[in-house]
Amino acid sequence: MNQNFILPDKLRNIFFGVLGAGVLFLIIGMIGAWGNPSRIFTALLYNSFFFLGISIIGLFFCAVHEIGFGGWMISVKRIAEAMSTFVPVAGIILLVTVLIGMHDIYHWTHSELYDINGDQYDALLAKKTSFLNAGFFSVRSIIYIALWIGLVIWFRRNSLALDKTGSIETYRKSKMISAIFLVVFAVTSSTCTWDWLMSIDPHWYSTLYGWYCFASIFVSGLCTIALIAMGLKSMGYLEYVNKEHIHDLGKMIFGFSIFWTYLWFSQFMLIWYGNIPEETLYFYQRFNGGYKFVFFLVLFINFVFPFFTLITAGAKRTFGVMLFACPVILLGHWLDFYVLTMPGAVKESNGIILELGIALCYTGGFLLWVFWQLQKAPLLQTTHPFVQESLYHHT
Amino acid sequence: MAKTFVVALYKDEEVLMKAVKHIKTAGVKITDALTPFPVHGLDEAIDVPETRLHTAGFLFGLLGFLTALTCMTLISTVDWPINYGGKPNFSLPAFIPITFEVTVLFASVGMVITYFLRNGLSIFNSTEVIDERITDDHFALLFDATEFTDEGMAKVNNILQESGAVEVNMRTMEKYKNLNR
Repeated sequence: MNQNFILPDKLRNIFFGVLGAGVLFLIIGMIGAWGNPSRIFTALLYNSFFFLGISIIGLFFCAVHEIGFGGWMISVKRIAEAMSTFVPVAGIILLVTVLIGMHDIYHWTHSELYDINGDQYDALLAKKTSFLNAGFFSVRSIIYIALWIGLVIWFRRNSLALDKTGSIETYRKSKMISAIFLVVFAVTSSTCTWDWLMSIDPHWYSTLYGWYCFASIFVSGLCTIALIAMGLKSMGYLEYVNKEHIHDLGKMIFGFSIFWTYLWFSQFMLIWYGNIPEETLYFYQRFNGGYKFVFFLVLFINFVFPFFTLITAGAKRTFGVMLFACPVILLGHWLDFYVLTMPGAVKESNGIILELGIALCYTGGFLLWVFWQLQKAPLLQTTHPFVQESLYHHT
Repeated sequence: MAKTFVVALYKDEEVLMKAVKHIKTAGVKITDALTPFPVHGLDEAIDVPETRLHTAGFLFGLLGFLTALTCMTLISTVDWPINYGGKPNFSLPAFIPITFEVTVLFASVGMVITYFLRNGLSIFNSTEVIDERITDDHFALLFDATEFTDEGMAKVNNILQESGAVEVNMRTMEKYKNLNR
């Protein structure tokens, strides 16, 4: 079995091509968006969050299966691990974006809102200052990113150590790291979305927002794992990954697409039913200003499309169907973050070229980084206790 | 319809799985397998086609979906329109939770009933057990006896003995229904 991956030059050139196309779009988009820093920073923020989410899901995927004795994931563990190593890159870009662009993205950072004698005084936001203030916000952002980077590096290092030692102690340690990460992630995955995304609309709040974003990035992360696994397989690696493993990934993609819809609908229906102006404002912004089409397109791509495409077992076991469905779902969730952030920060829709440029840059960079990391370790972790179970996995 | 079978009994599931491979390579057609508990991978080994129960489930779900939606639409727009909090009489978001529940109800109950009917399981039906021991610790493979000539029968008997069967005999079932094909 050939387990040492070497990135072919042709593929590397394609990735650089994607990156180059992204830069081109970015320049065109920047000309259009010049003089609108809110849009530039928000586009950077939500793209960074999307790719940070996909990367951190790499570690979440490993941790959940490590804790739950999920043996089948060993066959794709290296892919998820390589994805998680992108967290420092996306995380630091996101951190720089929110720290520099705070004033342009977040309405609540404007100091005139808190001047009690000024005509723009906002009593509601003034009550929230103990949580929503620039200092505490920056500290929280730094803590989230630092914790995630630390845990990613710790887990990866321990996993590489397991390759060398193969001892049960190292394996137990990886379970411990997973447990710590899951506790940290359970809290931070919610609170980071409140800070970075939900506070764009500072008057509006939704208690399931964190899970909603988590469902979105989890589905995207699973699609990425499945796509990279199928890509590596077509290059002649990962011969032990067969339709059984892809079937399991497909089941999770299907299930969490439904979960995402459940949260989307719960949020929508309660606000629609209650009909309270300060809550309906959120949907009012999305039904107007040129976002309505994308808003409903997202629901279609992320629910109706995967529901009917992936409902049969046969579809989830067919590589062609999965190769078609995964990129479409990824696009859907990327658009989802677009409608989550843009209407609040930038009132009117201004096209999507700049956003597309940043996304393509990220895609190229992400793939180059992940495939570079895949070269660093054997594709199958033969020292893991569950490796045989993974090879004979059967659904 | 009464049907005669060659019944090979095995005492272990692993022996059974190996025997199935052995018998298939020898070119003998297995009609059915009867086991005290589900044996992983046996369905594929004896070429049982995939169940169509999930298709039935989808159709029942669709029926439930349409029933709930039509009922609520007719009730709240035609039969008894009431103004709830200024919402339009036809309010799709408000109907969706109930539609979902009825879909699940129809799909699950429908699938259970279909399963029982198809397998002939009910309190009014007595089931015919080909050999009492398959309800305890024996695994049976059935072969259609009418397909074999006398010579062939002797050959099959040999193959079955080789494959590790503890016992090979002929049995007749009065109302056998092959659900696999």
